[in-house]
Amino acid sequence: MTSRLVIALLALAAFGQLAEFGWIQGKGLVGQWLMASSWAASAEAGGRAPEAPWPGARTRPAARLFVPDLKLDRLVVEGVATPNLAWGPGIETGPNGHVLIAAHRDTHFRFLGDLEKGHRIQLEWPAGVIRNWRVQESRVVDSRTTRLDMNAPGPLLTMVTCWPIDAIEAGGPLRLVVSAVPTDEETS
Amino acid sequence: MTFTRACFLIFAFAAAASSADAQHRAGLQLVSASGSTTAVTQSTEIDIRVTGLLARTTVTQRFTNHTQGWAEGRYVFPLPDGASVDELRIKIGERLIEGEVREKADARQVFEQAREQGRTAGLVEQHADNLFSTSLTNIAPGEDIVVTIGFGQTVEYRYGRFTLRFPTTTLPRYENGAGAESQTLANSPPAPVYSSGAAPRLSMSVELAAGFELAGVQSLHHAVDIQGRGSDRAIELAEPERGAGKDFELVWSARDEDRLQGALFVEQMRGQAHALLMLLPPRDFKPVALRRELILVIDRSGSMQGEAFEQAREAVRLALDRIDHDDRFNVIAFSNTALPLFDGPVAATRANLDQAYRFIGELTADGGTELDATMGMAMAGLPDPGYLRQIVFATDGAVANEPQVLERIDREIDDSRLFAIGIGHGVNDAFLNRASSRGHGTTTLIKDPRDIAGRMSELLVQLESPVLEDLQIDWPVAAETWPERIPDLYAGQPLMVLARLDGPASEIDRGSVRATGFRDLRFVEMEWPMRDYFSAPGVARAWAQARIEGLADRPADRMDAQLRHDERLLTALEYRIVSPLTSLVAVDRTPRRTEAAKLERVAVAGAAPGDRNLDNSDPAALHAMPATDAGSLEAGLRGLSILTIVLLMIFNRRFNRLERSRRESNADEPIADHGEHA
Repeated sequence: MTSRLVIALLALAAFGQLAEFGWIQGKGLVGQWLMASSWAASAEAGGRAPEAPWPGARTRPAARLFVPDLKLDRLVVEGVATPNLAWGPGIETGPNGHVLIAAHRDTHFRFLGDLEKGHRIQLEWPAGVIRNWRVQESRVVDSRTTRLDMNAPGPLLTMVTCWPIDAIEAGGPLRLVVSAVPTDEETS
Repeated sequence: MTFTRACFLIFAFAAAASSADAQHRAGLQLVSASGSTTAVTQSTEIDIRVTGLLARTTVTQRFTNHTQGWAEGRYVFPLPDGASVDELRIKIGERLIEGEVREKADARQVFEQAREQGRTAGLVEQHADNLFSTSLTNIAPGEDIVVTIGFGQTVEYRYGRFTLRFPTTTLPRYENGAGAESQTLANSPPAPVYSSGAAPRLSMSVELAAGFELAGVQSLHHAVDIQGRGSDRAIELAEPERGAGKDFELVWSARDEDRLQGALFVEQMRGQAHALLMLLPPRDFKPVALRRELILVIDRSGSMQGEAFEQAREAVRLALDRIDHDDRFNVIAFSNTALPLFDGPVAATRANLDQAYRFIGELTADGGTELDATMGMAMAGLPDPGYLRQIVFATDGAVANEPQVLERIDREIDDSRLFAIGIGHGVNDAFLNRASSRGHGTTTLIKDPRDIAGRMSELLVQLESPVLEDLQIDWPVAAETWPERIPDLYAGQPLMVLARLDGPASEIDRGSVRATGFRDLRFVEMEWPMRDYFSAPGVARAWAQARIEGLADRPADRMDAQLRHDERLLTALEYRIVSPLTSLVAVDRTPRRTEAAKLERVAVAGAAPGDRNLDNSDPAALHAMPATDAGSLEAGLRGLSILTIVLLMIFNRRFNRLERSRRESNADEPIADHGEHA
């Protein structure tokens, strides 16, 4: 009798954990999907600020990130706070043009470890402006001792995610930091 | 996801983690051509046990290498003047490595060798008078190592106050252009970096066994918790996190101050008794009318900027207030050059004094600290007949050319007296003590603005009182006494000497120590019975330390350089203490780092003095790393593993049930058979 109870409880726990996994992954996918339409609408409207992707949403798409070499396409949301990052990579821009994009290692930035020096990155802003970047460097740093300098002179693109990408335990101190430099003048 | 990327350690983030930014973080700093970043954190625990006039301190520092590479580091720190370091222990996990004292070059070689071989090792070296460094090498990635350094020091007694000092900061010493090699850390890896901002975590506890009923115990600059009664106290920093940046000063006094006449502490080492004697001169002095020529010298160099300079200004004003109209005086301000108020000493008329107050008020602090020429100016010529020249100089002691200044004082002091006022935290008190004792004067330390009035009035009493001169000490047996020449004593100062007696402690019960001297031409005698002594560990090493320092101070014409070197080295090796000639080195027996793992070089930051601003980066522009882990992998894996367990349990139940039913059916058959037989 007790073993049946234990099995039932464990099964519940297992489904709870799997549901959490599904919820996090699902949120990441659904967020991207929902934002895609509001992004498209804003592009059609000639670069007007994108609408809220769903009623009551606090995040809205701020840019689109392409990595042609890895065939990746992500919609980037405003702000790098944890709640925003559930829906998509978060973006923040420093006063001198230092662009920071951060995302979870287990959802949108799972690919970040595969980026190598020389890979091309495209960033599309709401007005349809596309800028090309090239990966210059990727490094692993300790978040307890390293800070991001938002005042750094730009243009500079920095992408951050947790390291190691496939670690089992969550919340480790290490971060993978990929920096990229612009390769062209603005094209439309 | 290459291995090299995972191992990347040194990192100047986004080309903008400027060096100023790196400096204001506490802890070990990784330094390389590409910039620096903090990688190794550190906490410091200080334990002090005071027995009578001796204090034993152990400093325990924990370093954690947060990086993925092998690290090495170097930590530069000040110790109190006269501290004798005799202990180095390194703990890695459960292993304990003990340090041994070797000749400096030897020790460094042993350390370098260990470094190359991939062994964990530590090295404690002495650089300037009271500036030491600990070097560590081959700290494994993610490893915790605990370094313990032990040293002894004596407690200061003055005007009824016992003072224990522990410096937590060093001032960067000013260096002039050429040839001031004595203060630089010879052939050192990256220079020490001063850390302001967040200070390293510091906790401190003091066990005080004064040996007499205590009247009051007080920490001057830190909030502390004090417990205990009678002659014993336990003191702890109330806010451990905020300790660094200000020198620790603990002050206590006796309930029955008048009954305090002296004390004798004895330790036996190497078959000989070593003694520390403190005697208080009789208190019945009266200030005598004395015509003085007061030369006030004020340090207005860049290192004094801020609160320190205000304090120096205030101290000089207080000295001016006490000048008698019979006296003569002058004021000299100095930085890169000396700036005298008058060409020479003038009469203390109202007009002249007013001019001096104005002069003091208009000074600003900037530039270097060239004390040598200034001292020459202060000591130039002879004072008017019938006047005693007293030179009072207020400085933080972060001066250039220390040896030249000391030599000049030896050469030119004549009958003049030199009094040093050390201003602020992180003062180079070792230098000030040397300068003032060569100048037959005293050193007064002022750490805090609210100390100024009290300390200055004590100094001014000293300036006005007769001294105890020509002191001689007679021990009942032959003895080697340090300091060799007992300095003149001023009001409020006890006589303090260290001696090594010719014979074991068991034989010194008879007789007494006699000190004689003159006060204002009258004969003064003090006596202390030898059998009234306390056993105290630390006396022997304090004696050895005094000998090593004393021999260095002997004028060159009185001692052959080679002999001096040999004697000092021998003393340091025999008594196993760190000195300018010897270092402590500890090496792990097993090499642990493989050839392939690269070693990263680290320099460690000290704490910058609290009132000095070395930090000019903008912390607001620095963004913490975002949290970039949703935890879904962990959840998913956890879910899958629990699911596996559930499936296994279900399978197990099924299997058990099947087994049972099979056994039951097997068991039924023989019974049925039996039944048939019946």
